[in-house]
Amino acid sequence: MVYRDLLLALRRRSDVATALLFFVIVASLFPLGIGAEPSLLRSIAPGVIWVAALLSSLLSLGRLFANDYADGTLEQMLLGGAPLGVIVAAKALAHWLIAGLPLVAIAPLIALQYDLPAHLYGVLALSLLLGTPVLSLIGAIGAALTLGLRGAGVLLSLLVLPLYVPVLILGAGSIEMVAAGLPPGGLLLLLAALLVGATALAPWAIAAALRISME
Amino acid sequence: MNWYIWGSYAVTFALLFLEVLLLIKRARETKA
Amino acid sequence: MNATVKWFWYASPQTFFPLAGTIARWCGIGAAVLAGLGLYIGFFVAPTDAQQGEVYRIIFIHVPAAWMSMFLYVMMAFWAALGLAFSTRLSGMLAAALAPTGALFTFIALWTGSLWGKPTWGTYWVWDARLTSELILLFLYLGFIALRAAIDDPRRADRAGAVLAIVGVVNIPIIYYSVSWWNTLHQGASVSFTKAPSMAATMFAGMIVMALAFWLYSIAVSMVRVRCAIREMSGERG
Repeated sequence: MVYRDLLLALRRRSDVATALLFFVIVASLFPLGIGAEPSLLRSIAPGVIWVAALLSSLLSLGRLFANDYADGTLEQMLLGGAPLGVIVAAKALAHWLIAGLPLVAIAPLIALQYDLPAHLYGVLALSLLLGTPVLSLIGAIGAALTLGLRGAGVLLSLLVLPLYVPVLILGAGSIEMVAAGLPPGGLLLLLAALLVGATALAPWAIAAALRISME
Repeated sequence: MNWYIWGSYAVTFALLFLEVLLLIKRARETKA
Repeated sequence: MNATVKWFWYASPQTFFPLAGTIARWCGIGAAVLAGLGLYIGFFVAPTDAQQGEVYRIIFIHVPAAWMSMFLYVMMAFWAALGLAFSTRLSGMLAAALAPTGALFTFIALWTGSLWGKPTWGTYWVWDARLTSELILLFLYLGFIALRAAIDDPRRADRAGAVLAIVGVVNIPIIYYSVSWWNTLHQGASVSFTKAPSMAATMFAGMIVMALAFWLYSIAVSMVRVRCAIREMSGERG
């Protein structure tokens, strides 16, 4: 299932590239709007990177179920024998591999632009690694609920962004902790706890939402 | 009596009355 | 046994309709009376606060509105979950009927909070944990309303809204704790949040009376809204 989604995504490579490019562009806009004062940039960098990651993840959510819904594959998955919770978990995982993992890879580049000290790169990568899967899981609930509705894109952002708040706070906060010379362990543990909780609960909610949307 | 108190109470009760008015209007429409 | 039968009997929209009318009437009257009493206590009985002067009188609507905003969301999620579990049509209607009132009280809590903040803290808005959580709560309400509005099929609207409300109610404590942690990290030095140490009994009474008035108001309004929804549903069928 994960493999299949990845293959499909590879065939539409431009989609993945667009989300990634969006992430980079949003992050590059802030210095243009705020000014290139290095100390200022350094202090806003964690927040900017995380907000850009949130928006970029949101951008690709709309396609999570839409293509399978349009060509009828989703209906067959619902009727098929495999438990729906596992299927949707696989789809969320695929979404993360396509939309989340590349962000982790490219974030150091943006950190470079913002003149972030080198010792923050580790916690930046780790927080993104723990946080972006939560974004995919929570976002998938919203994507399943808004499936096939008019104006689904805007609605999706209204539903999902408030729920992203804890991830944003913990993710950006852990980087700021290290920047302030404090250990980020507690926050990263909380972020990991969010990931565990979301992995346990979100597939159930996604499956329920999909069943409702597909009736 | 300053504007902070006045503004709080006026807006609160104005909004509650507005909700009631809209609701009465909707109730009339559904009855017809 | 008899009681359960009766509960499910009232769960049918047609039998609930007249009951909702009676509840709405009495709760509406009660809300008006208690609101008058609350205003009287708030403005004439409660003494002027030693530290804040007159402006603290905003507390009589601010605090009850904030209570209602949170309580109504939980009630909404409760009815939504019940509707999802027993697929009773009425539960979804109740959840939908509570949402606009909940959003309204959330807005009122934010509005009065900022008007209270200006004279006491010197600013209309601070990124305090409670204010920020309340703002996010407003977004959750609006998301619920927007999702229902976007779905044409009422059954799908009920159930999709229910999933969203349950996800939201699981998230509220997480949001609150993350925001309050974040707030202690970013605490501005100029603002202090210490309340007056002791609250006069009359002040407390005024708050409780006002909270009861808001309670009855919410019940009355949502009952009328449910009646409208029932009428609309039977109108579509017949």
